[in-house]
Amino acid sequence: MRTSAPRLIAPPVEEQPIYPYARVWRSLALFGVSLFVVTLVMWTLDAFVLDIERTLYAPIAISIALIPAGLWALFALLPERGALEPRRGLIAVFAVSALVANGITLPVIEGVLQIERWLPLADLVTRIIGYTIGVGVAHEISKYLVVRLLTWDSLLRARMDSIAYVTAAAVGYATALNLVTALRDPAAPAASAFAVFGTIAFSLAPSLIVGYGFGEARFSNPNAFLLIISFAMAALIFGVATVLRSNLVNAGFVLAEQVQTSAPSPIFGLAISVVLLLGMSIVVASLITSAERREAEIRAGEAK
Amino acid sequence: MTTSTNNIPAIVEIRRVEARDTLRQRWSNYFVLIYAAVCFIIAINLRDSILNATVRYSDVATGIRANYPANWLIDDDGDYVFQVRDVSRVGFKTAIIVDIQPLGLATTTRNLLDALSLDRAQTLTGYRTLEIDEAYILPDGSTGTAMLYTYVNAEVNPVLQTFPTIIEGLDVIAVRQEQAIIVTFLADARTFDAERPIFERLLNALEF
Repeated sequence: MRTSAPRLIAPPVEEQPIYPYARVWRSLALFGVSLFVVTLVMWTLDAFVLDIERTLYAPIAISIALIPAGLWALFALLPERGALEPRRGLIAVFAVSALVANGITLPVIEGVLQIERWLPLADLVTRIIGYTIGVGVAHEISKYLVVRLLTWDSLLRARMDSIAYVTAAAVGYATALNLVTALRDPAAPAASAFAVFGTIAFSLAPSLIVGYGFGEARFSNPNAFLLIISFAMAALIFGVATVLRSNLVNAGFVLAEQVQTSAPSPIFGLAISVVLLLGMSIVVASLITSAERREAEIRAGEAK
Repeated sequence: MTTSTNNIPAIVEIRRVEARDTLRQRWSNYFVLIYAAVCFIIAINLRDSILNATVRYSDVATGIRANYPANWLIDDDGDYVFQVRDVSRVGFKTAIIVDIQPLGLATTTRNLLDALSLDRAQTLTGYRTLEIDEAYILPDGSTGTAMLYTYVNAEVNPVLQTFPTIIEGLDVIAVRQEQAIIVTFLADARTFDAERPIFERLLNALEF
């Protein structure tokens, strides 16, 4: 009797498709957490450990202003080298966005809109409207145009590309604003760190929404109003968050029977920035995931 | 590879074919640009409406009515009809002062200016008259007199430890029914020209 060894057939293994691009949300999370940690470290050092001379404020403030650019290069730019399909043009988007911020948008906001002359003293509703349609729209249209002109035709290949490019634009833009502030009026290291984190969060969070609308407009062919709605939402969120932050952070005027001190509360500002950045990231991530799932279902339906 | 008509190999150009935008994509981009432009116009309009907002002032006793800038602080308790100041300004508070002086039969506008100059020279540090224009055209087309001057304003509170500020002032004098109305504009010399339109607007709407 001849016996033969049983023939075993290996069960089919579903091969995981290789993701050829660098992970954007991971880079963004690492960037945000690192910047948050740096801010807390600067605050701790300034408040409890170091007694820094006032003459050193300017170089320290400039260094702090450049930290987000360094972290972005480390966590977003460097992983692109290891990706199968690296995103091209990120540095160009970063640099052009910074140049536009310093050369066009900031002079328009300060010289034409003259926000400082009328908006800080206006009532609450006027401030929200003013910061939305004035500053918010000016910031967002600058970043949108840079990303639109540099990436739309040839660099966008997947939805997450739009998030990667708007992140580059937002970080470049905020870096320019932070450098201008550091050069004009250098503050103490802790205050500089809080301001830098705030500028980054207030530049990046609205841009993520624009990035979602931008990606959808490129890959989904949605309603023509989706992009403008996302753009308007981004400007509105900037306006509301700016007014909310200034109300909570700035020192108030206290009239009480006993003497009370009223000091700025930068920790509130940091908390608002963190909540804004985290909240917008979660919302945009779920919107993009939902859009990708919807597209996959449509493709599967077409294949059947 | 293609060949030309005389069998000479020609260059084949390989070029990436770029997908053209759909109508929706083009319009979504246009909508964003239009939205930004409209917002910019509204923001400019909002700025102007807030910066040029005024409050009505009326004094029955002197018959003076004026529109002064909103958010400026009005004071009518001094030796003048009224004074308004931009208290939100850091440093010297830009001010507009309206006063009335009776004119005798023999008193001319020039006498009034000289009296003002003498008085200021004794009370203000570094007072100096820069220019007198006796053919200053008032908003109603009549002729008045204007005097441009400067002085140094030192902060009276030594605790504040501020540098003195150079002030530029402008008096515009109009004579009506043996009364001279003196409208004075005082501002930091660095911002005098930029803020002068506020003074011009008040002067244009001044009724007496």
